[in-house]
Amino acid sequence: MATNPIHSDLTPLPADLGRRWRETFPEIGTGPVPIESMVSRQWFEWERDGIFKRCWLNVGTVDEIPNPGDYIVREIHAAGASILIVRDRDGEVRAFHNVCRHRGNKLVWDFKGHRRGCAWPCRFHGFVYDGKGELVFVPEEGNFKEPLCHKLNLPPVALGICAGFIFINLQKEPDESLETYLGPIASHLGDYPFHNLPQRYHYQSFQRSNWKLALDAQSEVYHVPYLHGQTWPNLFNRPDRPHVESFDMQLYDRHRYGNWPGNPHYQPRDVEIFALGKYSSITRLGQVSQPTGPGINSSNAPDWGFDIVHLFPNTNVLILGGVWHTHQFWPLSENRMLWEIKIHMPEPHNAGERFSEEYGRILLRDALREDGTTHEHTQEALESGAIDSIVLQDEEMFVRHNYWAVEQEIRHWRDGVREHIK
Amino acid sequence: MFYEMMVPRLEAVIDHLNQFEMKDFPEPEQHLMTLLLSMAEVTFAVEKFDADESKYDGLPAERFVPVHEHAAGGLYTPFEYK
Repeated sequence: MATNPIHSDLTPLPADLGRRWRETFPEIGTGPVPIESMVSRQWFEWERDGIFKRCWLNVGTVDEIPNPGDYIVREIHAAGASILIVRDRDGEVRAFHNVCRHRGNKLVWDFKGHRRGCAWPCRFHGFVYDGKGELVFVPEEGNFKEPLCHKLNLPPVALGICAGFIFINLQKEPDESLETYLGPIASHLGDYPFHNLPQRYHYQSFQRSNWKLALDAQSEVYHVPYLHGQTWPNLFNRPDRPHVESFDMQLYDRHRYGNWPGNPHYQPRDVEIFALGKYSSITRLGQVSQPTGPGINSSNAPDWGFDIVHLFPNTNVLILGGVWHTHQFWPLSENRMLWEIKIHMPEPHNAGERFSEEYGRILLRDALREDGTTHEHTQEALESGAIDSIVLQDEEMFVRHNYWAVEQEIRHWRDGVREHIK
Repeated sequence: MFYEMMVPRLEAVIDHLNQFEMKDFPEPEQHLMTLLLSMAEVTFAVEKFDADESKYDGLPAERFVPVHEHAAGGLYTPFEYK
């Protein structure tokens, strides 16, 4: 392969740039994508029943509940379910419906915490459950006609863990195992030191948009030089290209993986140079860092920027050198959603690293807020009925795959048929 | 302004603070650390947006909620969204 004439450290562009992904994945189609699934109540109901009540959903990572007695609560709004995930005294992670068996009160009211002695008491009448979900104490139990302890236990929820990522499934008996569900995408979660980078920041935003529009915005880099032209100038696009073209895309039936460049020639300004350069052991947003295994930076490019691992239906894991974050898109209705971002970075050891971390947090936060504006503007415009479809270029293949995968999953649930990517 | 005062001193400030354990800052160093972290916010506004808020069109800050700062660890669903 010829080296780049301007910068020898940049990976050469492929000859079939601009058509390679549609030629690699012809099953996904090439035409305009109808907007119906972004605006209609009917589609939301199909997604609710056919996807969110059936698929394995990522609800967090094991580092959120490191010690016995730790818990998190996740509201799966689309399914109307509140799920309590606990670490028991034996170290096991278990999930239950967050509902007291007495009169149905929500058992835990906050979203994370620790219960001494692995005992979860109900605020309403003091029923107490242990880390196996068993009812272990009932005030005035003798007043009930029958004894209740160890009989009226919390309804269990299927739970699985892959590479430290916790998944739940709301089917009483999931029709497939987590391993089968994830399939080949799991190989992209095994080669990055996720566990070395604890969760440091957690953002939530209620949005007036369909969940898929927000996911789309996190599924392509075409928009970066425009929408983020001031927040992230040249962070990813290299000096010889105005745009950021992917190194690799791998589409699986439901999930997807992508690999993108960074810009090794990025010139930080006055203060940024301290945050991203001299004092940074951590924040290398868009800057080159060493890949760590075959599942990550699949193209093995020296000018690697970041990877996206999409876990169907609603989780993106965005992996950069020294920082990774998850984006989750939780539907509330056809045009309402909760956007949730968890940012993982190493614990800073001194003031310089802390400054670098703070700068990196702000750099990401303010670019994401720019994305947030487009979700809502797009939803509003689509609901006006002015256009009936959207068009996509080759580098937006993840967006196309998003709609394809959602439709396939609904078809599979409704009609028992599914097309496959060869 | 703050940014212009801090820029030439930034390297010396960080080098000075790096001599201390972060959890054991004496009071003056704790204040200096607060000033340093403020620089992260200020720098972003000055270097990217010429300190002109009208040039930024992202979501209002109060709608992008840092729930890591919340005791409950998350947002309850607003009634209007149900």
